[in-house]
Amino acid sequence: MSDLDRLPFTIIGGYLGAGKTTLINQILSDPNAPRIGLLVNDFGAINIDASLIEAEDDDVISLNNGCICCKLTDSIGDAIDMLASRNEDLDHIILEASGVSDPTRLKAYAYGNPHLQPGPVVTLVDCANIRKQANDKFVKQLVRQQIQYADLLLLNKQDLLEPNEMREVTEWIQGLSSAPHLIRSDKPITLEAILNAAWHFTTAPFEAPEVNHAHVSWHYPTPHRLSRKMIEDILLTAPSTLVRGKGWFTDERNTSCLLQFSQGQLTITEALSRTSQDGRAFPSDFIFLSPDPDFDFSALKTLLDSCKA
Amino acid sequence: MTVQNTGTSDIQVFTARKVITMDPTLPEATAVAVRDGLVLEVGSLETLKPWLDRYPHSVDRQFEDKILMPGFIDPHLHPSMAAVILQMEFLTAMEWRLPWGTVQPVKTQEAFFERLKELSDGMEDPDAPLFTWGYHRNWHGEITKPMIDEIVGDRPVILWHRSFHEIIVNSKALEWMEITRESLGNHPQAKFDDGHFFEMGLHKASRKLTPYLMAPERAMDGLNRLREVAHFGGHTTLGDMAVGIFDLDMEFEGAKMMYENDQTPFRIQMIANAMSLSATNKSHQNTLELIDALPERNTHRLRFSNHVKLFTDGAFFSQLMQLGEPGYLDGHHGEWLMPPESFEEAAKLYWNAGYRIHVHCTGDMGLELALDMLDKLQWERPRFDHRYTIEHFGLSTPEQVRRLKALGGCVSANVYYLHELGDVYARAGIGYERASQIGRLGSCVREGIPTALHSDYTMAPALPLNNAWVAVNRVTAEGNVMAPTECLSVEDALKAITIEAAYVMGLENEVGSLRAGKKADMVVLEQDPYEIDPMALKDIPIWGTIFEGAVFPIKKSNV
Repeated sequence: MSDLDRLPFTIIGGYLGAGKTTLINQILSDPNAPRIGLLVNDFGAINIDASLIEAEDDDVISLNNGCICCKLTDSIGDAIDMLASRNEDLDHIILEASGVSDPTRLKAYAYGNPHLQPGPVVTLVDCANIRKQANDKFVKQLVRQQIQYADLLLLNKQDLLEPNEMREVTEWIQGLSSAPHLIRSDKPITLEAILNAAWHFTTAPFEAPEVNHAHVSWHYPTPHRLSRKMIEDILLTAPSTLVRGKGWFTDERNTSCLLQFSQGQLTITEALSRTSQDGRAFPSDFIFLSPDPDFDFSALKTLLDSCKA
Repeated sequence: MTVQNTGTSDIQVFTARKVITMDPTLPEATAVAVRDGLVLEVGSLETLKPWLDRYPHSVDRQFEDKILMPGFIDPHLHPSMAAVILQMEFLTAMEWRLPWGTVQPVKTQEAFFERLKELSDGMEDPDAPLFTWGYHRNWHGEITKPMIDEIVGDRPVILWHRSFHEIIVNSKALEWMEITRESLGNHPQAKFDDGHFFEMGLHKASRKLTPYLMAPERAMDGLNRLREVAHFGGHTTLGDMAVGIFDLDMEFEGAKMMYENDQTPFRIQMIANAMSLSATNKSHQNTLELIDALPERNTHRLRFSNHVKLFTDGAFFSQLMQLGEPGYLDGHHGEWLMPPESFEEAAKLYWNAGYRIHVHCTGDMGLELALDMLDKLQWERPRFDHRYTIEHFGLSTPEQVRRLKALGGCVSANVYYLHELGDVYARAGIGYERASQIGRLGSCVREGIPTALHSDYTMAPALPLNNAWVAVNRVTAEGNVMAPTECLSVEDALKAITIEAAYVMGLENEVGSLRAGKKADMVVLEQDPYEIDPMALKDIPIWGTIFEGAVFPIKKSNV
């Protein structure tokens, strides 16, 4: 199995009250959600409309939108393996980390499973309470760690704060973590947006490129802003042996963009939000794959270098 | 006056060189009269006369040169977990005295491999897997798959770490577990070439190992062995301090099948694990209802009552306890087993329902949370005699001990931590000052806090005299005496394995001392613990026990 066919595995964490259950209920009741295999801590908190349930037993609920919800009991590893073995029926696996777990440790479960592509850790933050939690003698270490090791932060409950308070909270969070963050406003952010942002803003896939030996991969990081138009031109005229590419970049208007390239199809999506502490562009980062062992990535590099905006 | 026959059987009198009653009003005696499993009276043949003149009786003088004490009580161990480990061969850096023989300490890699080879050669079935428990890098060095292959290559070998959080296996074991290089990929915690599985990676192996070790015939064999172990230590009462750790019904039924019979010389007080049960019962409220109904299942030997178990921080042996400043030497952090908010919700629920709460606390920050909680509970709804008990009591501060006293709490300590880990944690865990003060029991007793000892078997040997020996002498595995100011007197240590252990479980009216009306549970010792050198406390030979009046000698065959 090529690593591109592996099921992406995302961890959603955050301390109690951060909104994990709300997000999960939203995923499960969304008729258009991707087919998610969801591992949750318990069924007690989740709220599924009975009409959506296709089948149910003690530990597993199947929904008619294609989602499968599985309760974590003794062995997280076994539950993950069970869902991973149903990779034909699923698009994505999401693990809800318990409020006291260190989500980065949970990532280890996805390694070594041939069906899974270990992905990012998304930490949800209860903005109204985070600073109190971060000074609580018992959980300060834990909630700070959850923010520090996140690949993406989802800032919740900002409606409970005045704008200036929210600014302060955001600044405080940026002092702990340079991970990009999404802010949930009155309109709920869709799961797809969260997953897209998480997967494209994270460096995780680049750190551990588990590339099938049938493909060669090439990783292109650059600190510069890049011209969107020029990137489009380069990729759409690239040799057909450049089969896949993904990553993100900051364009000439300082907008962060997600890039997905597959078999000649290119999608560039403007990102929701990406902030930088000092106002500079965030570095850009791509990975490209080709089945041709002699693919001329140096030529591609010359072309991409010329895109500097 | 008509003499009414109030008993159904004859009175049996046990005489002894000395009866140590653990009852402060009548601390010593020479005879105990027993009928129908209860103590009729403690005293001498002379003072027992009003009973003996009135009713048929016999005098059993076989213990005339021995010492009788109340049967020992371990208020915290987990039979279902012990049953798993007891199926394995002990290959340990510490001495482990077991009913079927004493395991000599193995402190070098060379000796480890030598013993491993012996164990394998001694097995009848050439294909059966060999499980050992007790491997520890501090003593045995780094061991990997090829090294085991060289020593034992023809059968699966699984070396279980002392902490139970990792295993190292040979090639045959990988084959047996159907684990291939491909199936592990680049898992960061499961290494094919080293045969090493740890933490999250352990589940890759547990798919084969768990069903094997939990198979009914093996689990029953393990429970059987635990019966021998408990008897060997001189116990007549145990506390299963977390029923529901795997599966409540299975654990209870297994215990009932194995232990509710006349071959079992002890009773087990069952304390439900409200944390794991709440995970399967959706809410703490549902769990409370379930726990409320548990006493309906009680049998003669197995009993639930109004005690419940909760948790704060992580395992002491894994350095996952939560520490206050200045934390660990290497800067890592401990973990919470329950989110503090969830602990609070559960604690309030059980407190207000009248339960006596036992809180697993290993580090001083875990203890701090338990104390803050008790403070809150007392503020909102004061209770007297609540027996809120700190279980394990690894690290603490002197100020926390005073506060625990002020709030009315109890301590049930695993003081063996100090013996096995004191030296190691001084060097490689938390520094000397705090490591030397693991198990601050002298302070507890000086404050008048009810203080019991437990084994949390196999976190410590299930040998109450051994735990008492650690509490009295505070000697580490390397022979250092640590914080002698925290030593217990022999008397306080003996109380901690008898009456105080009964007290923390709410059984003090039935067991823990010898007086009229209590259960006729005794341990028969060959030496008087008050007469010997306190450093010999752990070596006092135990002749056997008496459970509810029935005599159970310890078989001497293999010792």
